[in-house]
Amino acid sequence: MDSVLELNIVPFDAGLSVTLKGDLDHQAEGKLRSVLDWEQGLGEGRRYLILNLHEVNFINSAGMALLIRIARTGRKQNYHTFICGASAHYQKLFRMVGLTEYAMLYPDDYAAMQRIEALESGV
Amino acid sequence: MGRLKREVRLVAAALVLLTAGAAAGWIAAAFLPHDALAAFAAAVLAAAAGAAGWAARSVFRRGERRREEGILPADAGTEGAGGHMPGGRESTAAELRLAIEMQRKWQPPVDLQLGACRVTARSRQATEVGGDLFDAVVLDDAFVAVLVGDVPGKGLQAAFMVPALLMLFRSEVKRGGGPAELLGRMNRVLAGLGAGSGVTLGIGLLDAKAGEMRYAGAGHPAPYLVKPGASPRQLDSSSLPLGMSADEAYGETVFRLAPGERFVLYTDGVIEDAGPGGEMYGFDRFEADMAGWEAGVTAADWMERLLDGQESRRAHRRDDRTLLVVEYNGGKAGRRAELLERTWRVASAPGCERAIVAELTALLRTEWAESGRTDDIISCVAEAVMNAAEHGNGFDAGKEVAVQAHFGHAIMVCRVRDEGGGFDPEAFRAAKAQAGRTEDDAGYGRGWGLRLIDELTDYWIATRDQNGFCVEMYFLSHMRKS
Repeated sequence: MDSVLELNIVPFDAGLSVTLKGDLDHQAEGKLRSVLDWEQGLGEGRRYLILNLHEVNFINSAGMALLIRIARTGRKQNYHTFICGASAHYQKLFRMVGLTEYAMLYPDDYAAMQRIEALESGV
Repeated sequence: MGRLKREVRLVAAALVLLTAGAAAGWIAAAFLPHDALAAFAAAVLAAAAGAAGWAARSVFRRGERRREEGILPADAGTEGAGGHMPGGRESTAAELRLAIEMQRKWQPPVDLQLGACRVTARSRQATEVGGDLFDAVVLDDAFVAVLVGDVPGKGLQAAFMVPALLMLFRSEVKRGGGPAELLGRMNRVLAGLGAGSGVTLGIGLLDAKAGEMRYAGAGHPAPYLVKPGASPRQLDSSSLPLGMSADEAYGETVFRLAPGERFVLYTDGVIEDAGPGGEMYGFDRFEADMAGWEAGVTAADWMERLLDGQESRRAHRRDDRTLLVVEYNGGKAGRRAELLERTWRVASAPGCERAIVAELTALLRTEWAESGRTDDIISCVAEAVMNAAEHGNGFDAGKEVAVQAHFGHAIMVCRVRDEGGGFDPEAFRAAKAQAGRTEDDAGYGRGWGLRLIDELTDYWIATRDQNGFCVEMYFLSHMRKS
């Protein structure tokens, strides 16, 4: 609960995989914004963003608002956002606040990658 | 079918009248100074009485017309709002469904722990909408006010009067004073309106730390003190029901509960419950049941057993039955009970919810793990504390956010209090209507905290008293009773 957000970013062919660790709340905004200028897209033509939340223990409304802003920016900058590893509780909250209109939810990054490969192959 | 629709519309319109009035009253309770509260409560009661009367008269008149037209037999029931409806089974069912929704919203379950005291209530209705009411309002760290009452009639009449009386009680109890003074104020409101005549109420004000109780009744059956292994003792209580005389003075009894002792409030439906041969359950059997209440049996279990026992004697009953018990577990017996109530106070600052949420999470995992509500509670408390620190106290480090958590058998209640002026419910409604679909990126997240609280709690209210603004959240355990 009492942990500052840590990020681990791993690029792959068509996108970026970002693993978040810690609390996703208002204090996390600066950290997330510092690693990338989201308004400029993911860079190098990348079109997929995976946000892995399986090491995030706590998300509040400010954290959800942050996720939704990133996902909405993706729609403008032509990248798709995939959120994986969220607990059933947070999946319920994401649906409640409308995040699922902008991001797709997957149980883990493997499932998200499979979907990305399907999209890349035109399925 | 057309007739049914008209009748449902009529009842719905009447309910809307009261709901609107009641909503205005709750807003008043949260935002207006105390002197204005009684006026608002009175207005709601007037609306309740008027709407109930209008609905009942309309239904009665239509029944008469239909009887004249030969649609209904001449001996069909004409008990109006409180009994059989001339509109037939379907319309009565539709009416009751609306009324049930309304009454459920206004009468959250009571099962809370405060200090060494535990307050539990159980109520079973004879018809689907009853005239019994009960409530428990925590006033601060140490005091809780309990209420049990009975409104004459059932059905529509009860659906209107019960929430209005609960609102009046909740408004008045926060103005201060003892139970006798509180009954006096409520009586003057009802007598002045000519509404609610014959309402009986019993009100107790409990100092949960000391185990001291102040009790006053208005025409209500006298409560009992029950000590394991001893004969139950009935308190002296004699007075007129509310609304009959504006000058009625109510007496007050003050006593201290001994460790392990229980204070039992009830409605007359429990005593007058009739068996298959018409024989009444009666005071003697009630007292025998209380005398046989063993020390290790919780109030919830004892009440369920008693009510189940009555139901096993007869399927159909005419009156509601309500029991409310205050258990005092001071001394050695209270140690575990004290574990189930926590208070935190933090200075208002960004992230101040973290420490509370961490401790509450640990507490939930040990004390309420089987409830299945840990995530919901944590999300709601975090949002409420953030709102209180930021919007209530403006992140002023000199102002505190206080959080109280009470764990009951089947319900957890959490109160988050700040020193601010309270939030605007209209802003919340607007945010809920938008449902996060704003095109303004910066607008995302505004109002979501309250929206999550609204979605994740079973019930919540916002109130204001002399100590500040308070959001009170109720969570029912999802654990099924074996």
